[in-house]
Amino acid sequence: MIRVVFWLAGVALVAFGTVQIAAHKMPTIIMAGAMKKLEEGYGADVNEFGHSGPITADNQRVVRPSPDLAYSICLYDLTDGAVAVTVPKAANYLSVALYDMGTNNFFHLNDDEMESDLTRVIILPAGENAGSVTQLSSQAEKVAISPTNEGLVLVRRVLMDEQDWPMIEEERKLMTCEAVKPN
Amino acid sequence: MKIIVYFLSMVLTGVGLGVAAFTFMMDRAITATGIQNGPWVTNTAYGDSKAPALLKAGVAKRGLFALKSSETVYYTAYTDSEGQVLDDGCTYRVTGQAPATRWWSFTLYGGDNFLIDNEADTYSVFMDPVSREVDFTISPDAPAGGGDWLPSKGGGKISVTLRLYNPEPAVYEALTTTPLPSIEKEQCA
Repeated sequence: MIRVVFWLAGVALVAFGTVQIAAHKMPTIIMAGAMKKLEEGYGADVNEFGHSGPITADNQRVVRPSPDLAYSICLYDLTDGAVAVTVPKAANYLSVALYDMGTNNFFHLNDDEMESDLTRVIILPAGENAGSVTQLSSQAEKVAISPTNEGLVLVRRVLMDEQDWPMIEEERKLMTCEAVKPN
Repeated sequence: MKIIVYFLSMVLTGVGLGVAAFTFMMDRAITATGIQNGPWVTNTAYGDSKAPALLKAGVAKRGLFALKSSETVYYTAYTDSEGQVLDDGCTYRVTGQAPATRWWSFTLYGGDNFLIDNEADTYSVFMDPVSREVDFTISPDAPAGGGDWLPSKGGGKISVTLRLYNPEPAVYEALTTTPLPSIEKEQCA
């Protein structure tokens, strides 16, 4: 009887542990897979913007995309230091969102919140020394501290009309994503 | 030998049950921890690092790269207004008014959480720039009466997401009661 009770308690403990481990690991696993698909789908290198065309059933890369948005992505890597992202204030809704490798949306900024026509956001790795942070902060409108060294910049630009595409292409020419060093 | 079998069976059974329980709970985390408003469910913890681990896992699987609710409110319906699971073989009429927001859209997804392939390349109903009126059909074939239509054929257990970008403060103050469109089943094939 004791052996049976002990066995059942052990099963419950292992099952509980499995749920906890899976719940904590799953976002990172899904994020890593999505990053790989986006890198292939958008044809963009690390620390470089890639842009989508109209989203359809044939070219969707991740779950539940919106066909009413033009997406731009930059897979950033902070291993060698900060990354700077520059985006223009678009003619319609535009937002910049940053996601860490745990899928957390740790930063977002939309066009209404942008203080200038061209906004520069510096992404810093957690643990960057205070001197570098101060120096790099002076080069940007916004500073975001990334909880993980890798992550994703996702720019959403609303597509009010199919005729918006030429305007969107012009806006995209002003977008940059690049590694930066303190002066 | 018996003791090895004893412990091995304990661990394997535990892992198996754990995986099954995790899959079950992850798939239901969004609705179980969500805010219900008629057939629509939303969650203010999307994208939040402080969200419970199971919800984060569920969102990663069913709504990766969601924005925080301070930027966008996502309402998703997996059922009609009578509580019946949405089915790609049925015809639904979605009518009402969208909440006050900067812009909104309704997008239809298949049971796999992807856009449903269709000849019309139609996946969403985008806001009318002058009115917040909502009136469209979800059905396997084009409705005889015309009007806005989201094709559902081949989607299985479908769902529809209402995106509200930069909604008015009144929406946040009444997530459970702000008026949202109804989803009425008209017929099934």
